[in-house]
Amino acid sequence: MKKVIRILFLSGFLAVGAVTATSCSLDPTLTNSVDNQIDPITDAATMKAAVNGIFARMKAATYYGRDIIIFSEVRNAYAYSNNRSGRFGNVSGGTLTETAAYASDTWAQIYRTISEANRVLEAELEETAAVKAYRGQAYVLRALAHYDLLRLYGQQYFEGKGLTAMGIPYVTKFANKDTNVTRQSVKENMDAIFSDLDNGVALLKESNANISKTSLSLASSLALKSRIALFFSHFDSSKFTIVSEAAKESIDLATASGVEVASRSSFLDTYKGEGVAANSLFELAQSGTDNLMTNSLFYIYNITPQGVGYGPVRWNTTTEFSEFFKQVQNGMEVRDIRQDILGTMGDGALGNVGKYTAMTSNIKMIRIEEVMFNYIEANVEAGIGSSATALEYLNEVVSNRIEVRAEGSSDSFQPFQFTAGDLATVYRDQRTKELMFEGFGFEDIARWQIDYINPTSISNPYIPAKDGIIKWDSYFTAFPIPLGEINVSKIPQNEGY
Amino acid sequence: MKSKYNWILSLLLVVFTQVAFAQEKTLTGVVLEEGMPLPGVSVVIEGTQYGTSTDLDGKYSIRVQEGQIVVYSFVGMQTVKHRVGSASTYNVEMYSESSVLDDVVVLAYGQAKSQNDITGNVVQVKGADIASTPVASVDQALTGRVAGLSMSSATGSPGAMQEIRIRGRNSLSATNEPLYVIDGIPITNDNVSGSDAATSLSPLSTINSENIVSMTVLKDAAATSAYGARGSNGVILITTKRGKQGDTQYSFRSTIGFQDLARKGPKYLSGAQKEELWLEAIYNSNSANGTLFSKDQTLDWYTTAGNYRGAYDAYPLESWIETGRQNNDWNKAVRQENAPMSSLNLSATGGDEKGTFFASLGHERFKGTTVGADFRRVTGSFNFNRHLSKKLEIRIGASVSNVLQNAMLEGGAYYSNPNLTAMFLSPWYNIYNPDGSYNIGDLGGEVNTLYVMKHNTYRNDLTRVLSNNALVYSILDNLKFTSTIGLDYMLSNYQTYYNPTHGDGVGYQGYAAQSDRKSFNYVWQNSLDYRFYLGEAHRFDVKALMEYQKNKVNELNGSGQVLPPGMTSLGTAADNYSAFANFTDWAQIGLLGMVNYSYDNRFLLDLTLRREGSSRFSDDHRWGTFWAVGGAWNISQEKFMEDATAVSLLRLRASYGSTGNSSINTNVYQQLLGASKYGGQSALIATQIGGPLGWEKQTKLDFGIEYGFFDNRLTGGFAYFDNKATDLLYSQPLSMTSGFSSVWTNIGDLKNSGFEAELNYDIIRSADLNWSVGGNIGTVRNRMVKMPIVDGKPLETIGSYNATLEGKIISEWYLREYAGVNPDNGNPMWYLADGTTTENYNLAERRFQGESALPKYSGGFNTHIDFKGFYLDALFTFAGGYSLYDPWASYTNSVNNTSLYFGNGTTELLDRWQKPGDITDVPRITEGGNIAYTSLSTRFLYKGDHLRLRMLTLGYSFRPNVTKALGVSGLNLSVSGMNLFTWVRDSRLKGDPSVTSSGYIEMGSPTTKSVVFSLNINF
Repeated sequence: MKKVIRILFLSGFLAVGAVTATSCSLDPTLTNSVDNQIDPITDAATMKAAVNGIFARMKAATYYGRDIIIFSEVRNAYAYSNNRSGRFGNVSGGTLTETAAYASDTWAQIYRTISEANRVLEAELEETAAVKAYRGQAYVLRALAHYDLLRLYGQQYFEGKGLTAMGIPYVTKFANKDTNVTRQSVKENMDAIFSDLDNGVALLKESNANISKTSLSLASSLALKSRIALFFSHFDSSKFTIVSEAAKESIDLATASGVEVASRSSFLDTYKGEGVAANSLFELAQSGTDNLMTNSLFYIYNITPQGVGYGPVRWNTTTEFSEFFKQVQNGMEVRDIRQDILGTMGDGALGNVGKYTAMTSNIKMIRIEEVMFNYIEANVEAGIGSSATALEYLNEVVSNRIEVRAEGSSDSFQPFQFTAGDLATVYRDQRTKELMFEGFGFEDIARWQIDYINPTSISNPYIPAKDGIIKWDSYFTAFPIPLGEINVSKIPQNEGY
Repeated sequence: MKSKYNWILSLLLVVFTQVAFAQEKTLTGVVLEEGMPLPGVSVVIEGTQYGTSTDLDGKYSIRVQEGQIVVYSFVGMQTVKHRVGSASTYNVEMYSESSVLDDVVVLAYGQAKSQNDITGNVVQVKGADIASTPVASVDQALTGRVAGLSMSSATGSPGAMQEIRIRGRNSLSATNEPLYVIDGIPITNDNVSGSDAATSLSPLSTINSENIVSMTVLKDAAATSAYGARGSNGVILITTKRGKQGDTQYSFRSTIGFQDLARKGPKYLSGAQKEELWLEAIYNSNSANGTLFSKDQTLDWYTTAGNYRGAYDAYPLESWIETGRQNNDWNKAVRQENAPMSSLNLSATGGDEKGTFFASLGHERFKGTTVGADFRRVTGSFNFNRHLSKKLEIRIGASVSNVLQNAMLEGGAYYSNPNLTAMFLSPWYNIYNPDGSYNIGDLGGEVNTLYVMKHNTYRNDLTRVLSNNALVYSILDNLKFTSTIGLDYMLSNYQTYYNPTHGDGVGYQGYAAQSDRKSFNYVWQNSLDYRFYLGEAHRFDVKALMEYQKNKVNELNGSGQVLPPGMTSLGTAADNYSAFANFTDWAQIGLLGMVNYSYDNRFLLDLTLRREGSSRFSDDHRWGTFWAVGGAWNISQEKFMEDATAVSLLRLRASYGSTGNSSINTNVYQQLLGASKYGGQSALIATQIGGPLGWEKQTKLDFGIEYGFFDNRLTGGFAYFDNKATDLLYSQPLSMTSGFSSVWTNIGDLKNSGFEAELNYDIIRSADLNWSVGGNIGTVRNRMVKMPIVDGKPLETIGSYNATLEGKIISEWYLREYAGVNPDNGNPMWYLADGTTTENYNLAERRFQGESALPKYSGGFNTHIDFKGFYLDALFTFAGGYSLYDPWASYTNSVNNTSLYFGNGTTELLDRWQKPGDITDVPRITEGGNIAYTSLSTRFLYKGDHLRLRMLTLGYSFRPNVTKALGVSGLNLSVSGMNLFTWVRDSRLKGDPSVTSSGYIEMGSPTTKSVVFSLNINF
């Protein structure tokens, strides 16, 4: 017995020593993460995963997954949020404060997206075709993200300051802990954005890669470039040239690859299918197991008869629907397929029931019709490009949306076409009807210097005139810089907040 | 003790009674236990074989010499020694061993010492107090019993996590929760609920409170430094019952009771009140001074098509009127009144000199006060120890428990949270259809949680095996080797089912999910204990210990959509499966040396040194060294105090030392890329910036005085402490432009100081009547001493609600101050920097409120009366010097559509401003105006100061003659009430004043009160 005990006793001590000796094994296990300092981007495969990371950040509800689209859709003439379920009422009514989650969450999410792009761009890999395609996408996405920040937080509209106004911090370094953050001017932002866009487009051209529509191809990069240029052309008319050239190049590339304007009969279906629509250049992919569920655009646009959806976004009742979509015009009965996008929601209100019809709907990033309207606008506003092409584009869209017949006639309806003389007067209305609920409402009217009003803004106590009218050049048109950011980096707040 | 077996035993012993030899004189007397004669007690002269035993009447007679020591011993009783003097009679009162334990305090690593041998600041709470508190998790029983300990919870649902703060907030971003140690084994005590959205589930809820001997709270450096690395926030030691020598004794306890809300909470508008207010808002917004229509005509105007052009269609109000203006009190509907609770416990203990055992079985059931919530626990435990030889002892113990908790989505503002329904759901929506079924039609986008709680599943099923095993080898009489292995396995399963008809599952045609979380924690301790004397008076106890702890958590979750009708299991889902798995682990190695020195029991000195490594820190910062010195002077043991007979106890003690804190998430020092997905492809996203990170250190200073007067009728203590934490583990906010929200660093210093006092007085002490009163109080003064310098000045962390600045309280409320309603126009006002008022919220000055969410003082006072078996215990608790904020005010107190149209508001809104000259705190109501009223300001900050009748117990213990007649050794009946009464200083606060350290009134189920009847039988 004593022997046994002694053995036990000794082995106990030995074990103590053994465990102590393993003290260097205090390294924790990682299963669902990797350490970037141990395993950075080392080849095309890890770079691909990083580029997918940029898209993964973009599809979040606080960015393209929902919020940035809704921010535009509740600040215009046709839609607003009545704050049902406490969502987006403060955006719609212009009562955002510097502590508002909408201001803070989207700011943070866009910079996260930029951070992923910077990680890709900082990687030092041999420039193969694949690597060029990834880096090209990262450049364009970094430009897009900064553009998105600028259109939300920049004060370019305020008092018509344009390029001299305060912009946003332009970040080109990954994981920078430096607190020395500054807001550049809108002009500096613009130059940096175009520099990134040019770099990205050049790399994508060089790589000549075949890129799917759920990633960023050369055609969709050019399309985004035309969109961004259109935004800046309002402050710097020289950018209309870029709008026109990029749009044309994009349309030609897209058309060659089979992208075409959605036909009247398929228009509504392009929003119902699970895959990428034929008229799209770029969509953010969603699926049954990878979607935003109750934070999806579907949930914010809808209230189904079963009560599914938050549904705060609805028709802006300060605009008469029957005036917006006229049933009879110039003696013609008009049937515009786009009015069918609107319908009765579960609570009886008029709202968007045609776009984003399921949680699994892909997010439309850019489609050929928008690029055509970009081209048209550059032509009308600055005379750049061909007016014949502009009219051709307009009618390609309109003839696939509107059909008419003489009032009181029993003829069959015929596709409608505008004439060259109509171009300047109708392009804005047609653009709005085409793109409504897709995230352009506010930027379009701001660019066109149009004020807005809605039932929620009517009770905004901060509007000096208390008339509910939010002027395009008032401070309301820029979001406040989130307080959490100011507290850390001490960057200046937007004027007015 | 008081059992018939004693009699049988005594008869046996009588046989062995030795005949007394002729001595110088005869000592006689009676041995009593609780006034009853105790037969068969061995009466032996120390150091000799000579002895006798008491007869059936408890009487004894023995021949002794003066100066000899007589030892009275009996199985299960505390041994009594008597030095023979001149007297020839000596009557002995014996006490059971369990009452001996009362005087012994359990300390770190299984040390048990009498109060006089301790240099540290410790408080022990007795098992009886814990068992008699009718709560689901044992930590809740500490409330009000430990000076300097404050407790709160986000929800009153049974089994939920409690938040404990000992001596305030010691860390900025790392945990402020104390370390829990069960029978010497440090355990993890993180929420094990399968969903953060659901009711939390505390691992401590797996422990049967009947099995606990004591809980000890270690507060200062001398006491906590043995757990140095993790002792910063204090340590709570839980000691479970072990076997007792003697014949097998059984104990049975049964309780039954019911629960309700401790405070009624705010009242919400009825449908008619809401109608009145909303129509007034419509009138105010659309018909200035009655220009368009008069106030009486508002309903007509509003509901006549074509009139109203605003955002708020009359439809919901109209349909409520059409269905007959039903009274829909959602707040009442989601509560379960008199929610029942019950428990059954049976335990057995026994053994001999070779070994003892303790076994118990328990079953407990609690219904929650909110619809659908309940909690059930089954426990079984067995502790066994045996001397394998003279030198070798083995201890084996295992406790197995299963907890089933029906949770709810009360972790936030979820539509399926019944507490949200209570607050937000408009009374214009009917609860029931005319046929009595639940209304699951249009509820303004919200959910009928009565239906949801009935048809959905949110269930935690937690199984825990806690095993504690030790081998003790006595190498020499005074040298002992102990090897202890503690194993703690928790398997928590969480099931979710959302029905396809109403609520969260509609969009998915039914949704089911299940998660398994397997947590395994093992601790291995090896120690050597050596006791030696230098001369007669210098005693040394030396301990060397090595400890290795490893924790592994393995999670597996799955979910699916589209379920067949009537099916609720994940296994039946038809579409959109998804799976998730995760594994985390951490390890800690500690090496400890302790020296306890005692000089003649008058001077005590304790030295502790611990070196510890943690896997949570970066490579070069992994190891930390912690030390402590503690000393005490037992003045009452001094010769010069011999004449001061009034002084039974007087001692001074002090300690100083360092402890650490490593309780942060694993892997935070690494720059991490996490897995994500996009378009069916894998993706990597940067999730954490990482950076060098090491131990948070704290130095603790504590000194105190302990006293007892008049044969310890008046006892008490006073302590002062000063804790300073440095290299704080801080999740420092980063500019969001970096792509990261924060980085973990070691920065800044903070300090907590305060005093604690305890006092107990036995007003009446007699055989039949006893009356005592007692109380404790602890104060904490919290200060951020140093913040890191950024851009040439100390960093200021300013949040929306609070701020942390150098020289200020951590997370001190920092808000605009509300100045009431302008009597002229009904608009809310706030104070400007110059002290004047403004109606422009943005211009108002943010001011520090001098308080945070943690009490500056807290404590309790109690009284105990017993008379001939009847007893009454009362415990009051109080806390003050803190404030809490109602973050939901913008939903429940808005003076516009949010409360008056979409949701619901509190009846406070009835006090709105109506006409010039009205003096009120509630502004004029309109469709969408005065949004700033519910913006963050002191308007919705409430003082938390309160007093609570925490426990009130009335009971009766049957006298031994009765129990003997019934054939049992003990019988006790009692009725207890918990939280029966709560007084809150701030009359504006309608809900419960307890709040977690966040300071926000959460959307959890409110704190409960309960009344419980219990029956205790020992046989």
